[in-house]
Amino acid sequence: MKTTLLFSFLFIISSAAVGQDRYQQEMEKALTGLDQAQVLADFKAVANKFELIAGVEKQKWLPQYYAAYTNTVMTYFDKDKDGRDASLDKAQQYLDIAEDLNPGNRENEILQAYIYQSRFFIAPMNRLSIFNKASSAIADALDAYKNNPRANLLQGIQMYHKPGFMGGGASKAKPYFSAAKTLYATSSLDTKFSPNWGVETNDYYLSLCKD
Amino acid sequence: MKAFTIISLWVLSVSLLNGQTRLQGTVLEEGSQGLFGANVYVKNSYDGATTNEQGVFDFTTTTTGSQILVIQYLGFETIEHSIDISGDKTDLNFSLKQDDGALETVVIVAGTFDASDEKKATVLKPMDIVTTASAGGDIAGALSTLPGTQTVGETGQLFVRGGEAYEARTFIDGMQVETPYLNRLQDIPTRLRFSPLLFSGTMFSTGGYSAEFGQALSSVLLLNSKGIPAEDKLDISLYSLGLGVSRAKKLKNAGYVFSVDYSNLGPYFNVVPQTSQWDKAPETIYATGSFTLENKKGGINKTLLSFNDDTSSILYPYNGFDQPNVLIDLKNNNLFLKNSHSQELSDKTKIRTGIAFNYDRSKIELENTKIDDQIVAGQLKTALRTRISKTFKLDYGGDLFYKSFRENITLDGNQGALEFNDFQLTAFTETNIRVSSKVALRLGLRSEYSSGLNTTKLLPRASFAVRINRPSQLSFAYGIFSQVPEYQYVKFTDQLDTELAAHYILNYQYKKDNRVFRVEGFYKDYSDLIRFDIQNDPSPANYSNTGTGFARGFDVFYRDGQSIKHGDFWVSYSFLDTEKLYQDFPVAATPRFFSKHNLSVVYKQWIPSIKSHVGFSYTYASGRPFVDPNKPDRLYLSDLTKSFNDLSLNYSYDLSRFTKIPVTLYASVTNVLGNDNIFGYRSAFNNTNNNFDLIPVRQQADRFYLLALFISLDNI
Repeated sequence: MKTTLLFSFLFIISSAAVGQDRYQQEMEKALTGLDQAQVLADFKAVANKFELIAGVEKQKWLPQYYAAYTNTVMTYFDKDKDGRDASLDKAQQYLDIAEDLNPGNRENEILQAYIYQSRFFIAPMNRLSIFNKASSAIADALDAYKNNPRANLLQGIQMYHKPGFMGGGASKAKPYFSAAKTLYATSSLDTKFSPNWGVETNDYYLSLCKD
Repeated sequence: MKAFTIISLWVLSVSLLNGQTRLQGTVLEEGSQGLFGANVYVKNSYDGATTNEQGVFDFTTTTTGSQILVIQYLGFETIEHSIDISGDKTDLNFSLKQDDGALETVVIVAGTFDASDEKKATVLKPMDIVTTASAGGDIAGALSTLPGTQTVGETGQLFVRGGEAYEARTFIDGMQVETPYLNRLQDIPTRLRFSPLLFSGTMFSTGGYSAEFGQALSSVLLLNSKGIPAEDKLDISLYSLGLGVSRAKKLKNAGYVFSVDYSNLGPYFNVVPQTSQWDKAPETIYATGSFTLENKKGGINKTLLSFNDDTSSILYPYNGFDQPNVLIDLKNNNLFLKNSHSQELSDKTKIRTGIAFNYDRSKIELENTKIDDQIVAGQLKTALRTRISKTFKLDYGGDLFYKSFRENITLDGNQGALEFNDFQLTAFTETNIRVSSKVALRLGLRSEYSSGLNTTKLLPRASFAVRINRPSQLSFAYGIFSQVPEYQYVKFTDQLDTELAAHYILNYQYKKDNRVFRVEGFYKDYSDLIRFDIQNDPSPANYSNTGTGFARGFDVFYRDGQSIKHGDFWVSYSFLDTEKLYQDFPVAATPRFFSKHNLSVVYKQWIPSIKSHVGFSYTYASGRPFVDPNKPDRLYLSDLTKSFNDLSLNYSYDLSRFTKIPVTLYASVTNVLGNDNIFGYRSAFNNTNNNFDLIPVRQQADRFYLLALFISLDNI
């Protein structure tokens, strides 16, 4: 009897522990997947994973945030324009939930700006007002969080793609990418799952700004 | 590490304890091929997988008993499948259906050109207005390259589908603009007062428009002003006709833009000879201020203030008489002030309110005559939209519009005054129904009361759209439109009724990525148009609502922004057949504004290697009717001018790599080939041969040149 009781007790404890652990495991798996993703299919699988976690852990901010991020970043690997808009619609839905769970979080604000910027890139010739919306959101984010590498990265991208006659260009963008590079190298993460995306993109843009 | 091993073992043991079930199967796209990348998982669990290239999924779950299996893929309808997990399952096959609701909703496009760049489906963008070669930065100029419009070079105004300029009305943020065009003397082309840079979106309707708008027989132009500027900015433009300065400031949840523009055509006219003999070339001061406030609940409040001062005078020849030229002098002041607010009242209802004020005064002086016209107009408006369900939206609202027109005439020291005052009370309601993902329907009703004429009109509107397949759709629009006659008639008599037009429009549109093709056929039936025997006769009995008319035809439009790298072009062709029996026409005839055939080609190319943007536009219009008074009445308006041809070029070059600050050089020239375009003929009685001489109405100059430098400094 005593052993049964002990066994049940142990089982309950372990289940609870496993529940917690499963979240950690799945997040780790998904983040590793995100690190390694190369093509659209990889990103879709990672997005599916985050969405699955987000569905279970409805009160946790990170899975919602990453579901939003993955659905955003994958638009750069998608050739179908309508599909890209649909992904961003989905990203926006997850970000709205993330914002409800963690209102005013700086990474939410930065990701929001990134979503606007990504919308612009779907049809750069036709979405000037979205470009302006992104510029505005990024400027606000950079204003508030000068030491955030992602805010610098987004500002760099924005400047890089802004035509010279409007005050943009590679030379105007480079200081932001350089700042972001330093910040990526020096800033430490609050937790191991904290947002840390953008390093490769930043390096890529820096290489474009070489001359 | 040790701890990790223990935990792993524990996990393993618990997993084993719980037992694992294998779930395997295939997800197909509409029952045919495998769907790659679908998400399949047990609801509220971590157990799930993404399908592979063949659409196959395979995973294990620790859940047991009755569960829900979710099969999800973006753009497809999600399946939630009840499943009893009691043993491995390897034959779980699903077929996902495309979710039409996730696609772009079918939109009614009959009669509309949406130029907003916030929406996904648009035909013309605000930037296109600035970069169209023949437009000269004028909104009306750019819109006149779209189908359904008419080239009427001597006016510069919009003429839509057999409708005169006064039949097209302009709205800013939903508020009516009583005097949208700069005042110009006869045969001098005008332009819209407002800079295209003030607006983020333009919706141009060539007919069949929504019940929210009225008092326009042909067309409405809906301009949406910009919100908070993206960044602090100082823009300076120096051009061959004047200069402009614009300051934008972005604040937290607010922003403003101030701009002042001064132009004087005098120096330019000294260099480039003009057809008209100017005593004083147009000199214009234009100032605008816009303020935007956003509140926490997503409400947006926009204020726009625009002020215009304009003077010019011309020496007009006394055709047919051996007399010195007559000097006509025009002074115009114009003020437009508007505040509009939009706010979500609840999850379901959104409200838009607005208040607007318009003041316009023009003084014309010639010899011993002075005409002093004053227009004061004000509007209060409320419009609501309630989402009753996902597929059913209701728009409703109303407005009160007041306008007062007063004309003081001084003739040889004698004074006289004419006036017309009108309160217009309007209510509208409109339902937007998505019958299915493929069919959208809009039914509206508008009532318009005019106190000045003491009339009430009930005006139905209806339109629907059917999606044929993903890129193409068919839409239809119908409506009855009413308009209080122009001041030039109602100032003499209020015993008139409103003029009416019924529109029937059928549209086919094919749109994929950056290509749009559309064909639109229309029929417009005019009734109750103003007729009179003698022009400008003050006797009320001279005027009646017995005029009629029709306009019918079709347009073809093709725009392609992807076939040519960094290039973009559109082609529009309109065929128009129209006749009216109105004004003092002795017989039904095509009014002098309208050509049967209109063609525009607009092309723009960005050349990255030389940092240049080049563009051209070509416009052709077949001959326009004119009156030859030497001919009998039955041949009224039966002669045609020669056709109109214009090739315009523009070029802009990014100078920033030389100047270190952002500077653009812009140059444009209209009518490069120097065609002597004749818009029509005026007649003058010649008492030497007792005949009427025909005097051609020509372009003001063979070509119009513009050279400009745009300097844009940000973050200052």
